Amino acid sequence: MQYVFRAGDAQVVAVAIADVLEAQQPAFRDPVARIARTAHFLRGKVPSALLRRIVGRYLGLDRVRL
Amino acid sequence: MRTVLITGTSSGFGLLSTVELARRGWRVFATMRDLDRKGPLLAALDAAGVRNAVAIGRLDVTEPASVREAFAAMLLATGGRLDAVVHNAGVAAGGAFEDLPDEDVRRVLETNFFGVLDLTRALLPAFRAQRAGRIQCRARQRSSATRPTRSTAPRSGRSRAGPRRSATSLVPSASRWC
Repeated sequence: MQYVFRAGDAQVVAVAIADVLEAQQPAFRDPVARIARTAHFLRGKVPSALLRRIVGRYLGLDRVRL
Repeated sequence: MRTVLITGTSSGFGLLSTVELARRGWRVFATMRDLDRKGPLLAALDAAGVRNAVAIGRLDVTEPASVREAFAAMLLATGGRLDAVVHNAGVAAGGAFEDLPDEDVRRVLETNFFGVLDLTRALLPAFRAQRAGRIQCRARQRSSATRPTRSTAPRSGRSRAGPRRSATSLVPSASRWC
């Protein structure tokens, strides 16, 4: 089965860039889109080995044969 | 009027960010390596009706002379004022690790990592002089986990992690002045 990765809407990133520039006190990191926010939230809370496996599965690494 | 310098505005996030910021009332200095590729940006600016808020210039972040020239020209136009910079420019090299030529990997790192450092170094004196300024780096969230065989991911992600780490170390020294 072909693994297909669908990118999100690029305009969302452009709006986020503008929002951060205009924020009174911007966060040091500002993850954009659901998957980035989830990964950012889980970092430090979930063991890194488990997080790598989750991200690898999301990216389709478990289906890659080199 | 607030001013911002954006790199890599010939396409993608850079192009869209330029239009979005101009629409919000920013004066934008949109830069790109090759000015022959400014057509799509001009079309987008015309469509949004914000052509007058944007100045387009050449800036190749891998050439220190280009960085200095573009930065000097921009400061001249704004009377020495710059409120923010968006490090958007980036390139990618595709292929499995052992297939990638060394020069491709170096080209990616020169642009995505050293380019950010050089431009930041050039603008910090201006930020310090005005005691304000904002530096924004666009990086990949998954910069430490990329697909090994996809065309755009492998080296781009790791090289983008560099500026993110560098920004962490820059904060204590720069925030004291900015």
